[in-house]
Amino acid sequence: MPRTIVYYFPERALGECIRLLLAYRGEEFIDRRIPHEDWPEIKHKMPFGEMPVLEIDGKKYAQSLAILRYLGRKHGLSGQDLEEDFEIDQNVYFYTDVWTRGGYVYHEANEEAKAANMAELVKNYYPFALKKLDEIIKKNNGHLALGKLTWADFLFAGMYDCVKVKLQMPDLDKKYPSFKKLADSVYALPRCKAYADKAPKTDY
Amino acid sequence: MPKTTVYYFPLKALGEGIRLLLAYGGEEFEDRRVTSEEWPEIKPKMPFGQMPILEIDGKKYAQSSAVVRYLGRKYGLSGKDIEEDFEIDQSVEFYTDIRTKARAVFHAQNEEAKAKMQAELEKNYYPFALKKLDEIIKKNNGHLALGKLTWADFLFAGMYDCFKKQLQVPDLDEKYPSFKKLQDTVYAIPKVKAFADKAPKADF
Repeated sequence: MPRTIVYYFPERALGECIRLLLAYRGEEFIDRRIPHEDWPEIKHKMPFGEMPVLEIDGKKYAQSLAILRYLGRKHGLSGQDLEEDFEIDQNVYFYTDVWTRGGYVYHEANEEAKAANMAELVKNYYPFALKKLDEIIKKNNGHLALGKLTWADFLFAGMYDCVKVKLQMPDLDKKYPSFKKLADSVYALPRCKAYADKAPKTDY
Repeated sequence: MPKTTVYYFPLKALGEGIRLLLAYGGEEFEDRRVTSEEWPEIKPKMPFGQMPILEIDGKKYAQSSAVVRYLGRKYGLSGKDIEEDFEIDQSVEFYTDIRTKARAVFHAQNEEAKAKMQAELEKNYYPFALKKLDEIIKKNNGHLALGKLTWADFLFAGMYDCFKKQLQVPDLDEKYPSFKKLQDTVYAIPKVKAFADKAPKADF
């Protein structure tokens, strides 16, 4: 059994996506949660000075989307050809686009600009983008791509509560029930549930 | 011969990598540069209301990172296995991370906040991140991964002038000559050069 470690902060977010996928595939791993206070000391040991990092038998894998795609292809959670792999990537990048745009506004330091930019998103971007995301999930039987479970769903589920924060939409569950349903469906997978039941609880 | 079209603005930026890959692959394509006046009419026809879009025989492919990976795999510019593909993805995601942080400054509304964020990046992030990018390229014989030409290099070359603009780091070419050198390497490939010589000129 390879020695597998997931290094991340004591949060779910991008680290959780990797933990859930490993759990789903029955891969034992050390869930190494590094407190923010300890991070400055450990930072230089990580290939890009960031987390999450996946370590398998001493080899470090960085960059969450690269890791998830790798694990997805390794563990039968990707497409059967280029066209299918493309579809997963396409929908994943659309999803990351949505939270990145939300994130720019969420992290805006100037309160007035933040409010103005949020109003802009709510008026001109979110209605289209979130409706599109909802359509994609419905078209794919409650999944992000290919009408079935892929590594994209683990990204979605692990990030979901963090995304709600970045979008500044606490009522996202009610507006687009398909989103929470997808996140829940991943957490309901028996091995994912077993992992989550024992894992530390965090807000996002 | 499939009918291939690349829809993008009259820029290089995110569309250019796709054009360069198609040129490399010997794929004839219509280089459809959509002006800002034309865009509102065309926008609803695009799957995610965005460009670039690659269209092959009526099928639309969106999300530039997904498209360049797809073309890369199609044209033998990817890895021989998932470990190698992972390495390409890791370098690309790291590079994309740098761009995302730079864009956050662009999105900041307030001039004071913008200046503050830029100063923060120049002090605490760019020195490390750009040095790391430089190391990666040097370690890989002037490429982004695997010590040889991959789709990652096309993405980098196409975006480079836009990247420089977004970073707002003066003298980037002089500070890290490996970056421009990589761009030049891609544009020197005969089929790519032939395309670029005839293509409309764009600053970024």
